Amino acid sequence: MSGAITYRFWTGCLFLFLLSLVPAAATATVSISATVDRTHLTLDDSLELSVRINGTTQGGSPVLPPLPDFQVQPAGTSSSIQIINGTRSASVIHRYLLLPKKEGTFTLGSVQLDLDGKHYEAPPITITVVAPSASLPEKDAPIFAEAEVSNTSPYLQEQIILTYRLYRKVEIRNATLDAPLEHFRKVELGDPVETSRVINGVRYYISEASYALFPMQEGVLSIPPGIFQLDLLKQNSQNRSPFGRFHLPDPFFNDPFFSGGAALERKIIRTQPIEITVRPFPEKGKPEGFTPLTGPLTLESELTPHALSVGETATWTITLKGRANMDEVKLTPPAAGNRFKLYEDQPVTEESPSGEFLEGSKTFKYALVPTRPGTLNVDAIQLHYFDPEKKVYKTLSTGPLNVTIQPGAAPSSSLSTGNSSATSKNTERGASELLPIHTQPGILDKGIRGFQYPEILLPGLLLPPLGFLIFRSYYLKRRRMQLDSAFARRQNARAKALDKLNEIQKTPALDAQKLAREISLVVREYLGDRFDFQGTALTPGEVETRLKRLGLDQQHVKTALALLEHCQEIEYAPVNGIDETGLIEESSRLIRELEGA
Amino acid sequence: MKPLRWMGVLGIWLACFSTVQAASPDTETLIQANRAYQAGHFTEAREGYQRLLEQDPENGHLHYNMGNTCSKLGKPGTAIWHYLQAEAYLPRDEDIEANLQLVLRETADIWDGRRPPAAAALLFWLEDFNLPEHLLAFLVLNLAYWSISGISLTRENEGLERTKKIVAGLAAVALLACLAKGPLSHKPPTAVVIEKSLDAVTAQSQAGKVLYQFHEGAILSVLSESGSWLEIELPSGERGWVKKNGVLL
Repeated sequence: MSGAITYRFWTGCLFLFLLSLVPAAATATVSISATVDRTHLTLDDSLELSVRINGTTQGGSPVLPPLPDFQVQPAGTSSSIQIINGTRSASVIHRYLLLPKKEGTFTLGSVQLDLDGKHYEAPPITITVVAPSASLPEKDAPIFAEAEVSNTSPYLQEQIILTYRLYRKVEIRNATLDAPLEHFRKVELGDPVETSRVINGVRYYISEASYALFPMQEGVLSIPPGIFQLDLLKQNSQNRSPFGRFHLPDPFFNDPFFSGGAALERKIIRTQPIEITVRPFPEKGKPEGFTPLTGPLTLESELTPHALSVGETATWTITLKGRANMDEVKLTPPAAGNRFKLYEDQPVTEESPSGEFLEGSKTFKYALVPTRPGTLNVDAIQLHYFDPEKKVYKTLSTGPLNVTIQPGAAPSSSLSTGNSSATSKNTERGASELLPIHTQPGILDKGIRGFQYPEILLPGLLLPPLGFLIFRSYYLKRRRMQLDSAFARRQNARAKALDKLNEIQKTPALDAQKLAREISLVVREYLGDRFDFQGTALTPGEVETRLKRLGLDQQHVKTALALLEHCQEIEYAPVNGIDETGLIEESSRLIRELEGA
Repeated sequence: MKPLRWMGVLGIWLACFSTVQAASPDTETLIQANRAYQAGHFTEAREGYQRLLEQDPENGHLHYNMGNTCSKLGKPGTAIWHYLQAEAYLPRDEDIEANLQLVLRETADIWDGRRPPAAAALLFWLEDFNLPEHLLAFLVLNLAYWSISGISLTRENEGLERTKKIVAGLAAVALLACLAKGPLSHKPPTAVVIEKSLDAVTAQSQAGKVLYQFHEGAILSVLSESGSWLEIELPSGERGWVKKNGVLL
């Protein structure tokens, strides 16, 4: 066995080697041709277009002309190389399946090819498509199709059922259904169902595919023909099964693939188009703010848990069920005030066939977080829909929520740190977009951000009490001076005495006697003000006695007495050439010394 | 004639001032970054805001704009970190909170592990103001107290004495708020996960048992720090350790 494989392998290699020795010049001529397997066909038939490119197996694909009246499906490519009398010829065939969309005579334009900088064209072909021959069961057709709707005059968005049925009494392969639809929402109702039915004494096997349709537009709408594409299985008469025509349900013995001689014929089967009239909603009784929605619908509302504390999260679940178009079911949650926050989850929609209809449910979930204790009242959520059976508008409502909220310190949930106004900002804009960046002028200003630094904080902290202490000291002193005359005299004594001495010094032509008298008077007045006695009326001796009694330093007493006696001598025993300036300076010095005493 | 002359001088001064303002490189950078953001050139905008933040890292507006930019660039963790920074400096800005919540809700964990400081239970306004604002309030009350004290020296008035006591009480509370917000704050620092996923483990080692897996954008409360690890609080209340390089502190 392995010897045979080795032999075939080496034979193949040798063939390829010899092929490569064939001169390339012999393969240079390239041409293109286009052929069809039929030029007359019905809408139920398909057409095979073969584009043959001779002279090469390389190069790109041919370019088909625009074929708006046909549905085009590629059906494969094959290439071949032949060597006849040492001349190699190569060709490649591109096949396409054309399914006519309507009746009429059509011209398939030129198929074109660009190869190695050269342009090739195949001549156009004329095709005639006629209506299909009668395909009704009465005519005993081997295969036919029909489409049916449950209601030809539904209301907008009312659910109707569209059923396509393919009847056959022959075997088929590779069946597909193309059911294009516009202006409807279409949901498939499960897998196709296989049944059988006897029509006019003949058993037909039926493949049934159903769809739930929701018309999305008012007026007359057309459901175009459903197109079944399939391969009809034909048997050769020589290879018939010994079990005759009763081939189903016995595929093993009757299947031509087992008995040999199978042939497939591509077939297109169309249903009739259907027109339906979609009725608008009646104006009478239409609720305000009604958005198109057709029932029937039911609503369930649940809040868990029902006992809540501030900051805890409860889940408010609202479930809508029914045959409505769930895509269009929308709820408007109540506006969150300052008593609670509401966070909306993405709603979950589930749809599944139930009986002959599509039953759906849509679940809305809201996270409700109370922000204040007390009774929390949340407005009801309402939803209006139209009931097509009773032809009236109906309203579903969750009913208001009344929950007692216990105080609580829990900053619990992950979303509880936001403030309510910020949350409401999010709700207003649909929680989908970021708020814009800050572009207002002055955002680079530092403002009061510097207050935390010591150079501003410390002065701000310490200067006010310091100012207060200074003011207090000044104020109290001023007040004492107003109330305590002795204190006021003492406080003013020095300044007053020095002022007077200055005046004496500035007075021109003052004789020695007068000068000594004035200085003596100033000094005695100072001593009287400073130590609280009437100094002007006292003799130097009395002054000495008073000062000693006050406990003044002996040296100061002696100095003061000496000054006063000196002045007295000048006053009563005048001499020439006294030092006036020295006397005044001596007085000033005495006053300054006594200030510190 | 005199008023006209003065108005002329004022006009020249204002013109010079505005020229100086317009020529400010920071203002130019800000304008360019804002324009880049609005034109959808977010990488360019981020570079501009980053330059400005290097000079003024405590500017809440810049952090907010940076947060928006990072969010647009698909970096929710970094965006949330910038929003948190912005919120610290501009605590009453509703835009920041709104965008923070929006970005947080789009993260995988939607986990905000922040905890308000214990003092906030008593000082309820604590988190509504930043530290400079608390300090300013205290300084104003401090000035008011000493001013009233000075006035009360000069005149004997019962109302004045009562006002002085009230202001003293308020100043004391303001000081307490400053301390609670500043040096005595026991609020744990927050960290934001910036990696796609980050394991919280039982010990400071990759060999530790994984307790929880956080995802980008989760906000964590940091309890302590040790080397390249952070001890954090898990949603269950337990403690775990995460690698420091997986978060922004």
